[in-house]
This record gives sequence, structure tokens and C-alpha cells, in this order.
Amino acid sequence: MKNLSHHIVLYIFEILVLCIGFIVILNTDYAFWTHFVILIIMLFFYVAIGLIRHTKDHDIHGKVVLEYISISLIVALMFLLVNISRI
Amino acid sequence: MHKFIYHYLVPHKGNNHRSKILHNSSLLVIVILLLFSSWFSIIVNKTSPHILGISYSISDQELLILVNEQRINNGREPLKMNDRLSKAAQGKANHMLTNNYWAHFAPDDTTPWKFIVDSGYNYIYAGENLAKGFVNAQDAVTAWMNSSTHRDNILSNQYKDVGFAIVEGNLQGEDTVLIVEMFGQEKNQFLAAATADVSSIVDTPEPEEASEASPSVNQTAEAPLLLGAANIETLNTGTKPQEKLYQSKPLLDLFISAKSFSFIIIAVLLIAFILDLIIVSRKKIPRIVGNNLDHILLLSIFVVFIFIYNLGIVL
Repeated sequence: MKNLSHHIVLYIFEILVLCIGFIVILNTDYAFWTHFVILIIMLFFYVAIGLIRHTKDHDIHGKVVLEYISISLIVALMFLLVNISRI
Repeated sequence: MHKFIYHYLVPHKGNNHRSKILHNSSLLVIVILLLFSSWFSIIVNKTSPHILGISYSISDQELLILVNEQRINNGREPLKMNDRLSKAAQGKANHMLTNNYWAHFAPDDTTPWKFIVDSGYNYIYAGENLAKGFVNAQDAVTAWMNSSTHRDNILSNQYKDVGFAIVEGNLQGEDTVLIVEMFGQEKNQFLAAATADVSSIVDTPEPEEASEASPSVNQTAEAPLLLGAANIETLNTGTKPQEKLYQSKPLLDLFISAKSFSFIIIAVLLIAFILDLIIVSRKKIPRIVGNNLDHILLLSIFVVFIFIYNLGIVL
């Protein structure tokens, strides 16, 4: 919780980016690649915000970067899997 | 089994105080599993769509009933199924698939009204609603009703007839099911209404403006005269038209399977992250790992998104 109060602005920004991104996807006319690009941009922000926070806390490490990238890849691949019929 | 679950989901000394499933090696295994699942789904979907494909079941009669339910609920006369409008809708659907476009007006400037005229329907008012990617009639009609321009078409007093086409095909690289809904009123219907006995005229509404987003045609400057609300039973006394049912029932529904698979992975990861967050913060064990709260936020928002994500769109 200490971490939460230290980085409240970054957390709010992260929630906003993720919520706005998914709302944009849900409310725009379907075009798989457009939606996929929006998702990738969101995930880029998610990784960037996470790494900024770790840099500020001086605990950035290669395996932390890999963890964020892995979680992002899992989300991107699940989105791809759900859209397989459209590709 | 208990030991396995404990090792994979609960941080303890044996897994270096980090749930095993959250180790980078396990996350990479999940990435590879998802990559393989995507590749496998594409191959099976292309080669054996009867095993793994999109299941859908839509009939024109079901669409008619649902559209008329909406009209009756809003105090409008029910529409009658018209074979010529259905033929026009079929022509429009085939034209979209052949010319690979998703629009009311074709890139070669062919208008929706051309298909109506070609079908022999002599219209005075006409309109068109499109939908694609829906797996049942209810979802398509609900989506139309949630869009103001499509809702206006469905509830318009200017229309007396309707026709549907449901066509499966590949549109802009996507295997999908198209639904074309054509509305209309014939000139002779309009004239009959206009010259009807004054005693049967109960309402003289203002002319309705043609919608911009969802095309409808208004070729008269006069206000259309509307007959009193028709008795539904009277309309149903004609010979029952043959129902056109379009359905595909693969062994496994690709969309539902993919969603379920994603839900399971997200649920397992979320449980692991939450347990990790609670247990490790209580024990105050220092580790060099990513921020659990970040991952919980992303996965929670994504699971809500996946839950409401739908393949269908209307135009």
C-alpha cells in the first residue's frame, strides 16, 4: 500500500490509459488490425508506466522488464485468439 | 495435487517466495501455449470449420418476429415480410461479398435502392439496416435498437414491408455472417392509405426526415397518412411463409472456446497475483519482481473487456 500511495498519479494514469483504450476498441467500428494496434499502444504504456515506477524505486532489473513484456504478450495473444475467426 | 497447486499458486520458501506460475519461465510457457493455440485454431478453422468454427443460428422469421415485437412495443404497426425486399436484400448481400465492401453505398456508386428497384418493388419509402458478425437474431436486433439511426428505421411509420437476407462469406478477409434488412412501402400501399375512408384514419403524423447515417428514401413531399393500428391477428392469417434458417453448428465454437480459454488463464494468473500480493506484503519479503498491482489492474480490466467484447457490428 506504501507503493500505491507513492505512485498514485502513475496508477491513475495507468487505469485511465487501459480503460480509455478498451472503451475506444469497444466503441469503434470493427477492424481487427486497428483494434490490435490500439491494444499494442495500451500495452506499451502499461510496460512503460511499470518500468518508470520501478526506475523511481531503484529496483529495475532485466527479469522485471521480461515479466512486464510476458504479461503484455499474454494479453495480446489472448486478444488475437478471441479474434481468430476474423483474421 | 494439493502440493502442485500450492507450489504454483502460493508463494513460499520452496518456490523462492514467488508463485511458480508467476516465474518468467512459466509466463513464457503460457505465451508459447497461446501462440500454439492461435496457430492450431487458425489451421483447424480453415481446414475443418465443422469442427472448430463460429456457430450461428439466424432465421428471417425470427428477425421478423423480433423487429415486429419492437414495433408493437413502441405502438407501431407490424411489418409484413416481402419476398421482393428479401430478394433485394439478397442482391445487396451478394454485391457486398462479390465487391468486398461493407457500406450502404458501394464503391462503384451502386445504391441500396437499385437492388429494391431491380427486385420489382415499386417503393415510395425505403431503408436499409446492415449487421455482420452476429451469431443470433436477438443480438443483431438489440444492436440495431441500440443505434439511433437503425432504431429509427425499425420503428419508422413510413415502412409497411421488410425483407431479410442472411449470407455467410468472406468480407474484407474476415469469415462472417452478413444480415441485410430492407424496409419499404410501395406506392400503391401509400395511395391506398391516402384514399382510405376518413373514418379509418386515426393519425396524420409529420413527415419523418430521412436518416443520414442509415439510408432511407423519402420521395414525396406530402405527409404520409397512417391507418389505424392493425390487428396483428389479421396480419397473421395469410399463408405462413417458408422459414429460411441459416445455421452453423461446429463441434466447438471458436469464439466461445477462445473466450473460455482466456478466462481460465486470466483467472489462474489473477489468483496467483492476488495471493502473492497478500502473502508477500504481510511477510515483507524483499524480491526483485514486477509490481503485482500493475498486473492485477491490467488483467482485471482485460477480463471485463473480454466479457463484453462482441463480434457483431451494425451499419
